[in-house]
Amino acid sequence: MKSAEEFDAVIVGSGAGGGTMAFGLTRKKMRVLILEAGPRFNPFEDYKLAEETWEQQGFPHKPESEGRQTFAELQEIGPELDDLQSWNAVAGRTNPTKRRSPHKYHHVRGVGGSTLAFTGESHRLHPDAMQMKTRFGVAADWPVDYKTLEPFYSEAERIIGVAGPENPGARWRSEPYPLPAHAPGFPSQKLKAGAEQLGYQWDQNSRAALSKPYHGRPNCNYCANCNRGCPRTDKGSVDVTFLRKSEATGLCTIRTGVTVLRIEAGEDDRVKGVHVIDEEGTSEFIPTRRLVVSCGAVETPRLLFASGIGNESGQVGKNFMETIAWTSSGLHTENLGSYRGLPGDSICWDFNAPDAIGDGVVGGVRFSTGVGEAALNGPTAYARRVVGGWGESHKKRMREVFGHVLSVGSIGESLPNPGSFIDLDPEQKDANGIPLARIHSHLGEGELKRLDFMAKTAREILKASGVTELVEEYGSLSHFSATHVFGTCRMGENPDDSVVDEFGRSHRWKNLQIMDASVFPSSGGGESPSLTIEALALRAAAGGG
Amino acid sequence: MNFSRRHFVKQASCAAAGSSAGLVAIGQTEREDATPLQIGLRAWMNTLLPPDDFSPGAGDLGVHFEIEQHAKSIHNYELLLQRGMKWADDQVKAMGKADFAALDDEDRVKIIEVAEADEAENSVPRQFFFHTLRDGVNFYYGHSESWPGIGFPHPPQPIGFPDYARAPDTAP
Ligand SMILES: Cc1cc2nc3c(=O)[nH]c(=O)nc-3n(C[C@H](O)[C@H](O)[C@H](O)COP(=O)(O)OP(=O)(O)OC[C@H]3O[C@@H](n4cnc5c(N)ncnc54)[C@H](O)[C@@H]3O)c2cc1C
Ligand code: SF4
Repeated sequence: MKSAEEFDAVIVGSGAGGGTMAFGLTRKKMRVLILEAGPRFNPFEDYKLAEETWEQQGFPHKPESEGRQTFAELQEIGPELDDLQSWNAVAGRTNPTKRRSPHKYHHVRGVGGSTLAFTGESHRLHPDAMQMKTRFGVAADWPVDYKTLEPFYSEAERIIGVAGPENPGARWRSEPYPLPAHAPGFPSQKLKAGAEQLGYQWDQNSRAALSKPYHGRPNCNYCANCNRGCPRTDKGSVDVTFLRKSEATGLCTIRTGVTVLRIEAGEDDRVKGVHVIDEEGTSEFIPTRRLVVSCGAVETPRLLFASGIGNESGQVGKNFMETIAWTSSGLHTENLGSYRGLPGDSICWDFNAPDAIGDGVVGGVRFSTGVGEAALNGPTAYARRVVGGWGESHKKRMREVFGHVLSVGSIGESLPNPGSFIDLDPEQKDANGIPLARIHSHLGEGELKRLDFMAKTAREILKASGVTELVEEYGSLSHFSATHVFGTCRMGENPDDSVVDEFGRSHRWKNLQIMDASVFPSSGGGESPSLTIEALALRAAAGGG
Repeated sequence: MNFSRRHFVKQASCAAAGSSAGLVAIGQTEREDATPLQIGLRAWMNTLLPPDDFSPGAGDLGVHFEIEQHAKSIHNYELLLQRGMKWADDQVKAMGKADFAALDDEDRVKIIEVAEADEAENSVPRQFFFHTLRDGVNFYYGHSESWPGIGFPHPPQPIGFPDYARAPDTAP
């Protein structure tokens, strides 16, 4: 093990932000030390999709591969919003109370971060979604525009091997996708036909899943289970893309099971280093010339708060944006074999621009195939959520409906509001005595309007596609359940209302950079964030100090 | 030859797959070294998720052993299994028969319907019914022998579903 002084930079966290920063810095011949709180996952051994109990196992979390967070009390739900409550055919309402319930901030602590469990949708942000303040007076403008970010998007796509369609839509491209789009699955073909009847355009999605062998990784075999971890390594999670290439340079050292407890401030507006603790409970101070914090939009503000650093603007932890999501699932008249295929292989961008919904609703949404992400792709899920019952009638119904589920998932813009933020829990601490991050979440009027539009449109598309009976609906009103979180260390030009600049550099601390989803000034209209985080990180590593 | 119980159940149910007659035979053989609770639970599980022409029942696949094992890690669950099974046996005795496992399918179904219909949320029969069904379903569909009939062909890997763009079971 090299001594800490031998590294040019220390990166905290190895997810989309940290892993890509490591790639960018090692490419500049810098020696990088990554401190990762979670373990390393071995795709070939840990992801047990070849076992008959695959469905019972979910993503195979290990000790320490999930952090703990708490929730402040969430908002009440009035009966006027009944139509947006989550339910399924077996359990009825999944939240019978009169308040939103805190389900989960979904994430993974591990080498590759949350991308280990991600679906791998690989999206560029709609160019118009980056100027929300100027155009609509909400959120904040991005200090970098689409044109500036475009070459970095292209580069990230080449490193990952993104497979995407020829037509770029609103997101113009300087080069084609590195790989051709995946042929749409049978369920997607039905959705396309239904959506087109309604006048919507239903396209192939751009996916961080290989449509052909690429950079020593095999192509996808359409097993439908990206969220349980991809055992083929064709899914473009950060461990098998950016980090694999970083480690191959010999310049990147990853220490797993090492949690950063506190950043220590030094003189001259520089940070000195970090206090860490490893799995054995050994504490250590690691000095550094350059510190990159990439713990994700919930844990990054927690670390800054715990360190008493970086919040000169008062914006750390504020502007928390979450996943505004809705999924409707129903039974198609035909057996679609919808347990097969690539999750999220097709998408509708028609309502993704910030002003596309109309009726004064600001912020866009998108619709996509949702069976895989809803995890309605195995017998157990059908038995528990679709069929229910017991005895002969249960088994008969299983035979009748298995493979028939068709789902439309939708994700929409989440706008910052004063009720959504991260702070430190005043009572609950982790095993190291550090207060846990506490999530405050409030759905504003705009979010509720968007959710309403998402639910109605999802149902409409399903009906037009041949679904005769809805069996499950799940949305953000009943449950806080976020996979995409953003905004808690927003970037901007003005140190008074932002935490970092366009390269993620702290406005105050000269050698401190933040590079993860927390720097987003706005969330986009349902685009998945990893590719944008990676493009920002490539640019930050290339040019940012 | 000395098979482990799970191994034995798997072997036997593979050999008998698709034949209800064969499945009955598995039950008879297996009962010899089972505890009374296991015998009762096996019958209970085979009624909740019964054998048919396509797949064995949950009891045939040893789901009752899995539930018994799982119950060890959950406070009061073992007690619930004992009390629940005793409740079922008591209902049967009131009908003048020996125990739940000795009933024919139709009478077993009737007893389970009583447990399901119990309106007291925390009553032993209702909780017993609810937990054994929930966990039974979970374990049952974790056995590939339960998949024939519903059309789920194999675990997602290692071969995936390269036919994903066509209607299921249609040749290229
Ligand atoms: C189920 C699921 C599906 C998703 N699907 C998609 C998708 O299809 N497309 C997409 O683009 N995005 C998707 N996402 C979101 C995407 O994974 C995240 O937006 C992205 O990984 C965020 O990157 P990040 O760098 O901000 O944080 P993360 O990737 O979460 O990485 C943070 C890392 O920091 C480490 N860390 C935290 N605190 C400390 C500490 N104190 N010391 C040391 N290390 C620490 C963590 O262990 C973790 O590894 C999905 C996420 C989930 C969970
Ligand atoms: S669907 Fe493809 S990318 Fe997803 S886990 Fe399966 S093989 Fe990997």
